[in-house]
Amino acid sequence: MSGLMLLSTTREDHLVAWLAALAIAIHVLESALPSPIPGVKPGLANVITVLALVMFGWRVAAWVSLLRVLAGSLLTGTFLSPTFLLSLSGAAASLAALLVAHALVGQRLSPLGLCVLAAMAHMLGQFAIAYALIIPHPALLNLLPVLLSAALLFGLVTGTMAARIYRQHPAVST
Amino acid sequence: MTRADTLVVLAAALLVGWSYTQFWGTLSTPGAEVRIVAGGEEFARLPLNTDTRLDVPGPAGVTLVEISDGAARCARSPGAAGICQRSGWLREAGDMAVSLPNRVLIEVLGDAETRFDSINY
Repeated sequence: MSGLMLLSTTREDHLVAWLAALAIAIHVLESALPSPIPGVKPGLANVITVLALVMFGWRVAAWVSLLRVLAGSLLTGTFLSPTFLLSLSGAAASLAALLVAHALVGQRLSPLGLCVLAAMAHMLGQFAIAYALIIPHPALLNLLPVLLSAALLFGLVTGTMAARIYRQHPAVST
Repeated sequence: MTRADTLVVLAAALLVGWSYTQFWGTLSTPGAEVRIVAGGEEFARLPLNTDTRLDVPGPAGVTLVEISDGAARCARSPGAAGICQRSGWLREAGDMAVSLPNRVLIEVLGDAETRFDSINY
């Protein structure tokens, strides 16, 4: 009656907000790290997406990942820039790979395998967009082996972190 | 680490290994021909697989183009800044060297898309 509108929030909304806030904080901290080659980043926020997937399901993981890209770009001032486009395409590719893998093999993949998968998919998705839209020059392909090596290495690192965190917080289902 | 994890890590390692053989084994798109433009008109078009040297006359003097080992370069040019020489050996499609004072352009032709040579943002 008074024009006051109450938003009703579910438990899942709160969960998404908390996890996204954590992922955004990691994303922003990481963007301050210097990088030797454009495109090489540890991708620590990946840990949050993978844990959200195994602990709370694909809906929470998808929300956390996309909110992280959107809010992270607003905070670092790259919204709608090429950087944002690359970040979004990487996140979309890794999310797609995670959802397919999780749906197909479920618990047989631990957070370690999921993180490696997500890191590789992130790099490939990002590289495909970079090559197709931003720098369509064959010389860019020379960078791909280095980028994929970094993705594998950081996938193993973030995967180890995610697996250790997961062991301390066993599965919760919503 | 589950068996599926091992499979994923192995597949990723194979992909990484494959990418090295694929993209570092050979040059991605070697150019086949070099085109030399002098004063806005095509002066010569030479195959890159035949070693040769060619003098290209222009308003400032003579630019010496050298072809060796499947690559072309501007070996000598009258420009004071040496920008043409500093482009080095031109090997891949799209590589080029330019001497503005002498109005000479050396360009490797090929099938690759060569829409941009650099982008900043």
